[in-house]
Amino acid sequence: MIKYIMRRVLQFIPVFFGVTLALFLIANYMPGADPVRMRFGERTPSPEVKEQLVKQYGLDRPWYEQYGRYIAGLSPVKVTDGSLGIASPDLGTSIYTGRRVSAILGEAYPYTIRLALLAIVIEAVFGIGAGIISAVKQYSFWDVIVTLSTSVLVSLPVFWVGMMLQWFFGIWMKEATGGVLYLPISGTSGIFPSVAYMILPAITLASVSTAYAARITRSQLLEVMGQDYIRTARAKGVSERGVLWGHALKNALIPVVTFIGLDLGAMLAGAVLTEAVFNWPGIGFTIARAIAQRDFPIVFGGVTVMLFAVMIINLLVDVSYALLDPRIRYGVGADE
Amino acid sequence: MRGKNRKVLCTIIALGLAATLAVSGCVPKQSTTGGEDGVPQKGGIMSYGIAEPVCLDPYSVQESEGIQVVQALFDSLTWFDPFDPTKLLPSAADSWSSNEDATVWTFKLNPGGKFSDGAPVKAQDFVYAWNRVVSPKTVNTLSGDVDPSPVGYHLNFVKGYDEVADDKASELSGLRAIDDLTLEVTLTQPFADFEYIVAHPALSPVPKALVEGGVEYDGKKVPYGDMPVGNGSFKMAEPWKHNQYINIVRNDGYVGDTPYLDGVSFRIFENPETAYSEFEAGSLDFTQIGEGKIADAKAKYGVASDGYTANPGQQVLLGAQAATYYLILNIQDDSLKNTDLRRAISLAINRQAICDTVFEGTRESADNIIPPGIAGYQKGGWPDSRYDVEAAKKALAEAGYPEGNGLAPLRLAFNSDGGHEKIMELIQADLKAIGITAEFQASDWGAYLDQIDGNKHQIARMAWQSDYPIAHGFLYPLFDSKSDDNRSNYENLSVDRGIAEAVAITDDAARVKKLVEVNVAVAAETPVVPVLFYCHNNVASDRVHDFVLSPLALGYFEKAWISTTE
Repeated sequence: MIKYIMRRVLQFIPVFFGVTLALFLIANYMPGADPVRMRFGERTPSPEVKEQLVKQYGLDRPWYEQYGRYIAGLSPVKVTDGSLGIASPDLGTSIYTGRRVSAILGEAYPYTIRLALLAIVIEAVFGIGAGIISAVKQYSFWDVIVTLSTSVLVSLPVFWVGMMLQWFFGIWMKEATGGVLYLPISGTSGIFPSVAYMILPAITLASVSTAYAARITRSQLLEVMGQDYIRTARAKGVSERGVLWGHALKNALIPVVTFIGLDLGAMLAGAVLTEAVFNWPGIGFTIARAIAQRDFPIVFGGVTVMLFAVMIINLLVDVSYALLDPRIRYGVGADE
Repeated sequence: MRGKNRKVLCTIIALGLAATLAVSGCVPKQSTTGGEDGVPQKGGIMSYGIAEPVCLDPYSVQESEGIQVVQALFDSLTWFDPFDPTKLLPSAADSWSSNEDATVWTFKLNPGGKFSDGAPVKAQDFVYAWNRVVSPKTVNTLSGDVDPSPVGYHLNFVKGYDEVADDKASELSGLRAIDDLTLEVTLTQPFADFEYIVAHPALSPVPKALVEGGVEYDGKKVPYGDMPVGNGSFKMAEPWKHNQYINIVRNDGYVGDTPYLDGVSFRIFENPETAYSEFEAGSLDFTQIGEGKIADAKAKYGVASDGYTANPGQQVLLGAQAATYYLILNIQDDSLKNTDLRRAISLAINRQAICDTVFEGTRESADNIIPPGIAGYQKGGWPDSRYDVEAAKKALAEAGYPEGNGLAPLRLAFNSDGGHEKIMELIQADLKAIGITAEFQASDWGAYLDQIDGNKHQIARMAWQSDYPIAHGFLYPLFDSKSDDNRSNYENLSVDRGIAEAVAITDDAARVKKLVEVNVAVAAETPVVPVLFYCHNNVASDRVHDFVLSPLALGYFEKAWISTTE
């Protein structure tokens, strides 16, 4: 297992360099004004100020030198005053706002993580739950409800779902109950307990994935339930409940776990639409805005953090297979 | 909070619309103060939807969001009447005067002026603040890195500007604190409008000790840029919560009349549509009206009679703004160097149709490059800025292209991210109607700026809002051959000379008259096509009284109050 993890970590190194290098090249050859120019908007900057800023951010250097500086900044081992030392990674300074990238990401990421975790819980509980009910009671009323509602859900645009939830729980319900019962529709804090602000965005963020998770669970479970070892279990006299929980589910869930894991990775990269609709100050709109402003230090910093997050999650997902399916073993002697 | 172009629009400051100037629908009637229902009440927090400002430290403030907050926290030397921008009001300065040729200005500070921490405002604080604006070595307190201001040009007439900007000197030689309450400014050339320049919030005084040492909050030091301490009628309640809110409260130690409001909570929205949903849910007091919802809002909330002052039942503000949407015609282009062709383009555009179909009537068709509300605006001041198909066809024939024959297709460039495409479609159709083929050239804002900077445009859209409510703020940048913002590459030495002469005229009426002459000369050559004047599209809740949104879209909280009982 340790060896397997080590191998995965080593595999991450080329991925990291590949992605960041591609990003640097895109940023360098992207059409558009340079990041410093963007700060001035419609007014033409004075050449002295512009030159000063360009120099300061190293934008007058060739891209490979800028890339080298970025990697050097990230490195925890740094040469300061001629001696090697350990320093925390430096993601640089935002060109548009002059703030530290680490401060900007440090504000945005906790919101993204909070929202992603709640959305994943919703997705896992409701997605898997609905899938199980649907499969166990195949062709029943509840099965029809689940298959129908999930088909509708996957085809709805996320921002529309969000706006409808806002209208229903925030505006309509408030009017209907005379302002007694309603949910906050945007932001992160205020007169409600802070968890209340997460409810609608988390449901919106989870909506499509929950539908997928339900459908995957249903089809996997139906397939597994038809296999020989399930019949054997039943023949041995294992109860229907025991068959489901003890035998079928563990196998059926592997693709679901993969899906949810990848989804968590995607959510940690930020949900631009959901965050915009609910004014959720997460990483999604921070990076989307930075791209529009050509504020590359934020884009590079954000992507770097995302890369690490996705890598760690994928690793955890792979490791979790072993727990779900005893036949899967990593490391020495494993069947390839 | 508005379209992209306006968000990044760097040139901003607020001013009111001259009450004397009447244009159709969105015109001010010089409202008297207003709630019908009684005496202003003290208390209450007004929540105000805003986009994330770039900066709250005055030295670098340039976009409308930052200026909105900074002007509530700071008083610069002078300020403008919220309704009539041509009228200057004393602010941090009690009085001021200039020598005969407007090269030396003396400002007498209000002796009671204090920063919200209690320290008196001294002339030295202005000297310090202004040097920060110009110096290339100024440190951004949020990062601790050197981060020069993008708005140093405000002071480019001040003696010593070039030396400081080039880092050959550290202080402007033209700035002198004669004593604690007297600031003397020496300019390199006569500039009679300087008293308007010094109203800009970027030129507010800042306390050196707090800028350099940080501000104490809750037992911790907070960078000045996150919790600026100013001399205005409000002060920060807590540090800026980025992307979430900025809370300010009444500054009870303020030297002037203290506001009725306990405070203002600027709630930061990335998406204006979400802000409008919050408004409809009853949890926001002021915001921009969502796209396509103006008619609905007018019916539900009532329209303010003067266009600028919100009161219960008169909550929708649609007053004209001092900003112009226009097309740049690049005179260096082989086709567009032809004046008659430029005139034909201007005459062919049905501006009213754009206002009605794209903006639900919330824009004004432009008949001048100088918007109403700025001294020097004249109704119909640009005679070719009107819709006249016959005249357009005639001008096109005079240009040598009867019915467009022989004219190569023109490229119509715009940024694809600000909702401009609908306007451009109508313009394209109007041009087609007289025989001019225009091809779209859309790109995102960054690529668009790059294209214009590189002088690769033929026809390109742009919006201009002056930093100061003066005609010079339009005529110099857009048409002086020395200006970097002159994207038409217009070059007329008599215009350059006229502008230079005008700024030296100390008599206000004579100066404006001179600038009007210059404007008329420019209009005859149509280097740009004025298309629209912007108007407000904002709405206030029914508990807000006497809140004024000035023609430069800046909220005046000084007289606003909130009815706490329904």
